[in-house]
Amino acid sequence: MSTSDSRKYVQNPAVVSREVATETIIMVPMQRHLNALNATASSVWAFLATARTVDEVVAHVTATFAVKDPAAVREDMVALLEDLEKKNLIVPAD
Amino acid sequence: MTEAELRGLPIRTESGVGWLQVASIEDVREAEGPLDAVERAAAAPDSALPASARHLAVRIGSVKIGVDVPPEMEEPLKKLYRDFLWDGETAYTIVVKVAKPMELERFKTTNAYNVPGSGVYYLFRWDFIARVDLNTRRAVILVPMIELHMCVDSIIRVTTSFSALLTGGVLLHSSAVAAPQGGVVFCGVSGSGKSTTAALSRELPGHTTLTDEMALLEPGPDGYTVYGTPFIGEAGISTNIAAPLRAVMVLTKAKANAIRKLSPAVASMELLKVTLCFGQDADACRIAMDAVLGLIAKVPVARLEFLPDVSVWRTIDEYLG
Repeated sequence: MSTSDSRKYVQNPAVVSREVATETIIMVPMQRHLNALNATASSVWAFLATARTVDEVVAHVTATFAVKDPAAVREDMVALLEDLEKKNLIVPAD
Repeated sequence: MTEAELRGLPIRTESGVGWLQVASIEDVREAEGPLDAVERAAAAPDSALPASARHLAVRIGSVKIGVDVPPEMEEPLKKLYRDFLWDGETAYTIVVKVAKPMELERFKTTNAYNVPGSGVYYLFRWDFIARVDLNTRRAVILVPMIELHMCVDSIIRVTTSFSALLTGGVLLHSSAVAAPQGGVVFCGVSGSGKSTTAALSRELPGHTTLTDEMALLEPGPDGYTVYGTPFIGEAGISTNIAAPLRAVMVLTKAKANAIRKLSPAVASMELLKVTLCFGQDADACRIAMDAVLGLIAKVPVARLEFLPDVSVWRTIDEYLG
């Protein structure tokens, strides 16, 4: 995933998730792992109910959390999306 | 939210240690013969049971299970469940049949397999294969030897866990104590001190250990109730007593006693790790998550940092008020 990546990502439809206060718990059926997302990642997760690009995710977080340094947000969001994809929680929207 | 918080650890991932090994497709192929055998056995009508079959029933909390067994298993099982025997109607039936050896030797631990959405779960280990059908509430176990009555215990655990989850309850790998203020459940991974914490309450007036291995938590109109179960651990403590549930504590050994509130997400993670759920398809994940979230919405879940001596009970009793 890169800053110029125009690929869209979406929640993996196979996972089971529940909002818990401001956080989110996610299980991938048939795996032995539980995942908890903090408030920021939960906001991104909810945003990814619809397919989104990295730029759209960055714009969402920047606006939602009134962030003053969008460049830092992009770096964090690229890392977050990579982690979510690695854990099979999101998938490319083809 | 600050930008520092924004950059905090966004995802926490943990293994669901309370969950069984999922059978791979290679495992399922290797167990194909026994799977066919248990399928045929499940399809046979109850009238095909031998006339010598014995019936016994157990009640654990509100879970009522009937078991039809070969006569040789009757007494060992009655002894095992002596405080939980039940003579009323049952909601689930387990039928035990003795079959030829099934070539399951390589499966040292229990494997679970199901067709997602079917409500039918297959469990197999070196010494048994079972088919649990949640639609008909009927399970069939094939065992290769009459001496293997503990296989029945495994399927009673499975049935109890599914029955609890389907009604919003949970069977937790935990110890539990009925204190004067109400029931307290202690959970954590193996070696975290579940049995120790329960045992330290034994000399205290008004404290009764319900279980050192597995507690059943069920919701009701006035909150949750914790029940002792016949599923014994190393200390062999099994008490058929219920108590209104006041708190669930996740254990951590420490140099001082303290009780700290857990965030809902962390509490959910900790409880899901010790919730018995023998399916891992999406349906099973949903009912397990919903049962745990229902619990944490009604019952305080805290981390108990503790010293393994009786002083921990002063901290617990103060917390319970």
